[in-house]
Amino acid sequence: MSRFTAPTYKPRMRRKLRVSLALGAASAALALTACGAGADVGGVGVACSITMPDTKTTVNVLSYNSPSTDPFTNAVASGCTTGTLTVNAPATDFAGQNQRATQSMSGTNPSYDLIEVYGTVYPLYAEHGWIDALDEQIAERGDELGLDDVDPVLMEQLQFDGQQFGIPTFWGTIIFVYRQDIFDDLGLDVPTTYAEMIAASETITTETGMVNPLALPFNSAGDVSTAYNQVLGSLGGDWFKDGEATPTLDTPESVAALDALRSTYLAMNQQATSWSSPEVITQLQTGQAAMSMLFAGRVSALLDADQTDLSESFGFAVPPSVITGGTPATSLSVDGFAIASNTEVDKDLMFDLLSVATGADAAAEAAGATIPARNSQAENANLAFEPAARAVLESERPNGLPHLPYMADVYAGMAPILAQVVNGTLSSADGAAALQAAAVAAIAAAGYTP
Amino acid sequence: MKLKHFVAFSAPALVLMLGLLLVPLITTLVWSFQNVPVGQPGVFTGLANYFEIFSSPRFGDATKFTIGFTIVVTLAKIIAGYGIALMLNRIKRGRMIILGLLMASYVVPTVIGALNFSWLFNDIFGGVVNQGLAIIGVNINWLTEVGPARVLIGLHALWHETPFVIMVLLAGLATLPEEPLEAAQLDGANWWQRQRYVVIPIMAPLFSFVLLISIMDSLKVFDSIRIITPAATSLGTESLMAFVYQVALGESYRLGIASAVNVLTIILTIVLLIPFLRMTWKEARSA
Repeated sequence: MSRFTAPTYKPRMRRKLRVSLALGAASAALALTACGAGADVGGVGVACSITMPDTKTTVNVLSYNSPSTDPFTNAVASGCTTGTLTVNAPATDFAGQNQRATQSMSGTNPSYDLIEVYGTVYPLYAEHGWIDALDEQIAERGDELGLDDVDPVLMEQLQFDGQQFGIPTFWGTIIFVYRQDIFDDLGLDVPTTYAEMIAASETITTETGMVNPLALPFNSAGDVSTAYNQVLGSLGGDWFKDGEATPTLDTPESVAALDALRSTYLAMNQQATSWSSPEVITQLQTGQAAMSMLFAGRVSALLDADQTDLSESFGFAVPPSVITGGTPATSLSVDGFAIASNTEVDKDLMFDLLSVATGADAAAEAAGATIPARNSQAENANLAFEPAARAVLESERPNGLPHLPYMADVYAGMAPILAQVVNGTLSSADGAAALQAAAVAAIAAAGYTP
Repeated sequence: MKLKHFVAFSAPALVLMLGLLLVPLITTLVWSFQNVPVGQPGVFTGLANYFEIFSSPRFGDATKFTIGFTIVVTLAKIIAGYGIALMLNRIKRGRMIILGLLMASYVVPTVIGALNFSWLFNDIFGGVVNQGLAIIGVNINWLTEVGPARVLIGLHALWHETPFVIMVLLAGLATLPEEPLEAAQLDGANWWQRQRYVVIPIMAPLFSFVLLISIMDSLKVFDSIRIITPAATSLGTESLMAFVYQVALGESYRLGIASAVNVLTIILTIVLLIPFLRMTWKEARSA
């Protein structure tokens, strides 16, 4: 090609490119518009068959971003934004959600209307009157919502003072995760107690050379508090006296729970107090660890062949109990949606949107990443970890945190003390006393009295 | 300039300052004397918040860590930044490429940079530094022990912020007048004497500026602590800002206590910056 042809050729190419891009953009816009024009089918394929408002209405959804929550949020955000209705779901992380929720719902000028809720926060929201009780609407429209497909245990997790404040979207219990191939090769049984778990860890190290087979989320910023709840529940201990704002964290069960945490830590890498779920999952994915206990909603990453070559090597089971005869060392977590009491949007419309966000279509969309609260969708998804989680859910004590408005305050104050017990700078007895004092102080600071 | 023009031009900036600076500042001051449950009006409690803070070992630890961090990191940044700037100033070819590469850690958002930086010291994610140390038989638990965790936060600050110091000081070195240096050399001054008595005094305004920025950056250290050592309370890496965040937003929404800590932090910042502000003021007057 002559150098003199280039100047005439290049603009022609640019024109072609521009025309192609314009056509592409127009096609994409048309396709997107067509999706929206369908009125009842959203971007994620979720039906949004609700009565649209007569006037322009904007609804803001507050829900932290994660593979588990996003399908439910998108169900309303993408699915219901059409015509006069706009549903926004600004991105936020887990910590940011709680801060935004508190600021929005505690004032008179709400920023958010539909709120994602979970175990430690919803009792506070309910007690402050920040979210609506839904019992009347559920009584009127329960049949069309199909809530009988949601396990009553899960519904109960979003109740406060006998009233239903939220509708569950997904749930998870802590389950035992292990490398089934290694267990089979070594003839190991799934452990039923912590002692067996630690013994299995030692066997794996001896037989395979794996340095740290046991990896539990023990991060002293918060995961260690979940670990404490697991062992305390397994040993039959409780956080509070029944019906009173009086903590019971200096009991023999609590001391034994702290002993169990310390001995478990000694069976792991010393860096375990910096591990949250992502670090533990990375160790499992890369073959650095062979055993863990994780919330079921987090383990789908282990089954993704794009993320790990070991995706077909994992087994899931009910977690061991701390001692023989105890209940599984687990914890139950249930997420859901609630309606902000101070929303300026019509409450019937809000309930419609709530029903879409927690509905069967949204559950079907979420079922690949987590266990939806609706049994039909959960069973249809055929998740490898779901039977273990369900066995825990249906066990004697799935061990959700107490439904108390000051639970988040107490929970937040535990971690630094637990970290000292775990790393051996505080004895279990002293640690239990310190936990008790911290819980009493946290309850008082939150404005409650025993 | 006529008064109405002055008002017209300065009004937007004044309104912004009033709205975004003065109002929050006054609110913080008022709240520091109140118990402020979230979503409810505050109740005057006098100096109760301040008494509670001063009797809190946690606040004392956070203050000591913040001041120590500020002093050590600022000095280290100035020394490292000046040393590298001197070396770069001697390089004739490829200086801008090297400077550009050095700036990479500065332009990366703190949160992302801190996460990646921490992986260098985390065995789970390869831990390149740990592997290197293992060769000489050294094993350090950077993320779970108090001393190493503090060093790690400091190292991150150096890695992230020293390029800014290098850039400013290199610009100063590049524009140094040659006459005083030649005169000093003719008088027999050695390299160290030329730095001590000629270069550094000429560049004093730049050093002052860099110190000012570095002290302010260090006093407000927060992002890297949240990412590298989320369990800052346990690891002794809780800065004043991390403490405020935990009290105001992370634990129990005690806005009154958090406001009182903020007021004390403002006072601390002013006290630490007074020498540099005075120096800047004097230079501005003499200019």
